[in-house]
This record gives sequence, structure tokens and C-alpha cells, in this order.
Amino acid sequence: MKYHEIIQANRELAQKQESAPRYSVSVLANIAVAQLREILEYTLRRQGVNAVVEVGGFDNIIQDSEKVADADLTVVFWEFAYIAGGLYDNSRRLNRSQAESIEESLRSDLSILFRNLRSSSLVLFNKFSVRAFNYQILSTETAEEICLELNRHIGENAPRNLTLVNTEKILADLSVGRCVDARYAYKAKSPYTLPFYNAYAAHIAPAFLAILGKMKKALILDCDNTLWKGTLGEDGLEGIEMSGDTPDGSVFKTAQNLILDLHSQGVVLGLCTKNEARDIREVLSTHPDMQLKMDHIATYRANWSDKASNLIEIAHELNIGLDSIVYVDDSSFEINYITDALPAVTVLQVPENIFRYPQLLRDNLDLFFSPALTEEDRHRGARYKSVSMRRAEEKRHSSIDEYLAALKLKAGIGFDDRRNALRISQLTQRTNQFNLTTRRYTESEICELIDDKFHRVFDFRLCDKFGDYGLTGVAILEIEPGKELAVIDTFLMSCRILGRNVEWVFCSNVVAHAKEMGLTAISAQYIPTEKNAQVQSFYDHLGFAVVRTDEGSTSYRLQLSDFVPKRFDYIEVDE
Amino acid sequence: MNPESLRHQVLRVMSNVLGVSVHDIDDNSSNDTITSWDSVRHIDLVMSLEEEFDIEIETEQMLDMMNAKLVILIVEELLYSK
Repeated sequence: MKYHEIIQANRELAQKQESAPRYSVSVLANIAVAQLREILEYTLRRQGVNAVVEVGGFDNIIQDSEKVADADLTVVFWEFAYIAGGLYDNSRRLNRSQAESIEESLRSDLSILFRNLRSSSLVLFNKFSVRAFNYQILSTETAEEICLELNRHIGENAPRNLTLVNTEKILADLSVGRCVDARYAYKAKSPYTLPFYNAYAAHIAPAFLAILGKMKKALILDCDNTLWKGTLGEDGLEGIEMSGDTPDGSVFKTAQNLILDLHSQGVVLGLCTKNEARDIREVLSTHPDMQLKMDHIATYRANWSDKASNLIEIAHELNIGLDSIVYVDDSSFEINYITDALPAVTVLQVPENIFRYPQLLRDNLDLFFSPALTEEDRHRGARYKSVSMRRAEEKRHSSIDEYLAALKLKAGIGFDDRRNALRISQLTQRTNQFNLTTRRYTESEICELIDDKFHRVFDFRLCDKFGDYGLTGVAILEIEPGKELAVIDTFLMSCRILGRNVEWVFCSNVVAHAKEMGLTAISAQYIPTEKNAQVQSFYDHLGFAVVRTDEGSTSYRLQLSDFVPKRFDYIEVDE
Repeated sequence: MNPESLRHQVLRVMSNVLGVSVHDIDDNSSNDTITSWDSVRHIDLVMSLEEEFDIEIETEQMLDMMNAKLVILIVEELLYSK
């Protein structure tokens, strides 16, 4: 899309999303980056995030950083070449001790910046680089050494909410000539071009979407000419290719490796293919060149029904939204069909020139970006896998209670454990459906709540005979000692454990906890969003009384003396 | 490219950048008649024209683009000298 079209499309999206929640994005820069505003707004709005981007004053990074403390996203363009009115031009003649004193002064500026930005939900900081101006490949310049040292320093000292962005990769991909325009660099201290901003916005958007709970969670793959070369139904088990010994096979071998990388990051894998299910299972369990095994696949649809219906079923089974799915297929027919029928699904088409296929996958790895990997992330793929095993078990029991009893559910409830802060903050950011108030918290905010004596942060874990679901529920209780009152600020459960009645057990425990603390009443709130209708009557079922309803939100109160906890014989609770 | 389609293409870029309908732009439209046409939008307009027509607009020409007619003329000139 051309820049003028982006400006117009952004204008239209801004109108459409006028009443949607606004997210403030601020760009701090020591260069002019005016065109990033429209491009970044458009990129985020197109993904349903009503972002309002503000570009700070020119060359005022530190001063502006104080004012943008509450921005949802802060982007920092600190261009080495423009530091101190053109440090780069002089840097070649600096001796080591002069270079060190520059490093020292920048390190101290950085620490002020980090302090000012510590409560921003996410800070994206471009790595220092002089790549745009440096073409010597036989030697290393002083400026490069300084950049290297500063980037190392940031890597070691930056707060957890900061992610370093490697813009050199964009320069390498598009070429320096296309990314930097010397005319504007000299005329307006505006070195970067429109193609650079387009690529930049596309690459950083997933990081912001991730903290808003809108990251891609599942990669669903076609099989023929997507996982291997050839058509299984025609070429047979021996005829399909994915070995490193042939040129075409090597492409698919690399593709499978990239897919496995995503699995190990916690991306859920699935198959959706027009093939006989038993043939697909045979390839995945017996083909010697197949790296992707049945164990990696959380769910599959191998049948002749249309792929849109299959993808809807998969989304339902995995309990994720269609907008969390990336679908890969080689067929233009299928790609167009999915684009048309399910616009929320992100589609990637295997290029006709298959040697470009690995590059296409690599280009899109950032879609699955997750700010910090936790243990939960690494095992997510396996968890979704046991979901399918549990579904099979479900069919063997006649009543749901009988089935739940057979699962041997074990819940663990704890509170104020700082070790869980990262995972808890992730859940507040990702959970949309079973979330009563949808309040998002960063890791540092969770830590503050944990340390605060007037807050209790509860964590809920669950396991059954098939495996451990991990930390899958969060409740935050605010205590008002003067009023002998507790307020449930947050109550959420990960969707993957619903349908087992554990939500009642967890909430009952939290309420019982408040009672043990000697409080007399507890209040709670349901704030409706587009996605949380299923919990609309949650507190009603627990016996809370409605106090007030306004603009869809409902406030509740419960006298603790009246409280009757919900118990289920088949759920064992460890406190 | 014939002059009429070039004119149309330039006006479309102006309309998108400045947020006014193509029908509301005539030869004399300038920053006096289009309020959104400020210095920031002027740079957006110049960059958009460069991108759309694959041309490089000089500083002088950029300052000369004071109304729609001049914008079209300058783009035309640059395209024919390519």
C-alpha cells in the first residue's frame, strides 16, 4: 500500500474505531520520524487496536520520557549518528578513553530513560547501530564498538518491560539504499524512508499485540506441498519428499524445522488437510524424514470438508479465537477461500517458487512473538495435545461428573508468590473470555501488588491424570481494613481448564480466605467486553447480591456470614 | 501518461493525504483553502508524490508547490525529464 493510501485508510479506521478503547503509543526520537505515526497507527488499527501514536519533540528523548510514563507502548529511536549533533562524524578520530567517556555518559542517560519508562507496559528500543553509514567490512570503527558496548549494556540492565529491536535486519532485508534517504537525512534529520517504516511497523506490531493478548497462538498447516513436496494421495508414502538429500526436499526439511522451533516456543500446531486421516497419521508416525511427529500436533482435521469449517472446529476445540490462528497452504483456492470466509485468520501461502518458502516463514516468525518465555509457554504445545486425549476420554464416560471424577483433578491455590509474577501478568494480558474485569497488569505491577499488604494475589494451578495444566487462574483481592471489606479486583481463569467446575472452587477459596482474615463482606464487579459474556452471571451463581448496574457493568456484594462455598467431591484442593 | 490521467492521479494523492474529496480540489486550492494542508502534511504530500511517481522532488520545487496547479506542473516536469 502506498503512503497516501495508508493515510486515508488510517483516517477511515480511526472513525470506525472511535468508540473502541484507545491505546497510547509514544515515539521518542532524536531524529524526525513523522511518517511513522500514520504507518504505525494504521498497522495497529488494522489488527483491531485503536492506537493513537504521538511523536515526541525532536531530540528530546530524556525530557519527553518523563511525560510519557503512562503510555501503553513507547518506541525509542535513538540514532547514534545524530547523538550530540553528529557524534558519528567525529567518532573515527576518538581515542579509546574518549570513546569510554562517551559510553559512560550515554549509560547514565539510559539509566534515567529506563527509570522514567519503567511503568510503560512495553518499551521497544532500537539497538544502537551505524549500519546505515558504515560500509567498511575489513575493519571495525570506534562507533561500531561504542554501539556494541551500549547494546550489551542495555541487554544486561534494561528493565523487563523493554525489548531491543534489531533494525539492522530490516536494513539487510530491504537494503540500506531503500531504507535511508540521504536527501531527507540532511534536509530534515529524517533519514528513514517509507519502506523502512512499513517494515518496521509490521515487525514491531506483534510485540504490542502480544501484551494486549492478541498474539497469534496456533499455526495450522496444510500437508501436501506445505509440509512435504508432493501429493500423498497420488504419490504415496514413498513419493513425497522432505529429506535434505534433494533440493525440493531440503526446502521442506527447513520449513519443518522452523515449524518445530515455533512449537518449542509454545505455539500450538495443527493440521488441516484434504487427505485420509489414516494416511496422514501413517506419514507422521512412520516416515523417516518427517521431523514433525504426531506428538507435536495438538489437533488435526484430515477430511474432505471445506477448510473454513475445519478451522472453525479447530479454533473451538483449542478454545482460541480465529484471530489467534495463522494458516499455511500452497493452494490459491484454499488461501482465497479462507481469506474470504474467515478474514480473522492470518493466511500464508507457500510461494510458487518453493525456494522462497523458508524465507516466508522466517519473515512471519515475529507474528508469534511473546515478550518473555515462561515455563508455561514452553509446554503449551504439549498441553493442547493432552486436551485432545482428554476429549477422547470424555467420550468414554456417560455423565460429565463421572468423566470429571475419572480425571482425578487436583487444584493448588497459593498467594503472593513473586516467582509467579511473570506468568500472572501474562494471564492478565492474555485472558479475554473468562475474565470478570479484564484489567491488564505488567509484571512489575503484579510484583507491587504482591508486596503491598493491602492486596493478595492468588494463583491457581491444576493437574489431572493426563498432565499438569500449570498456573491457570488468577485472583487479586484488595483489602479495605477500615471497612472490613475485600474487593475482588481481578478474577480470571485460562479457558483451557474450564468445564471442570474448578472456577467455583477457586473463587470459593478466595472468598473463604477473606472470611478467615476477619473481613465481613466482599464486593466484586463484572465489566463486560466483547469477549467475556460467558462470565456475566458468574457471581450471581455464587450467591453474590447485585448492588448496582451501570453501563453494562454490574457491582456485587456478599456478606461473608452468608457464604456457602461450592464444593465438588471430585476436585481435590491443596492450599 | 496523458495529462488528464496524470492530473487525476496527483489529485487522488492530494485527496488521500489532505483528507478532502477530489471534487473539492481545483487548480487554485492551496493551504489557504484547505485547512489540513499544513507544513507536516506538505512533507507527507511530497513523500507520497515521490513514492507514487518514483521521482525526487528538490527542496526548491517543494517550496514552489503552493497550489494544486503547481503541484501538478512540477510532477509533470519531473516525469518528462526522467
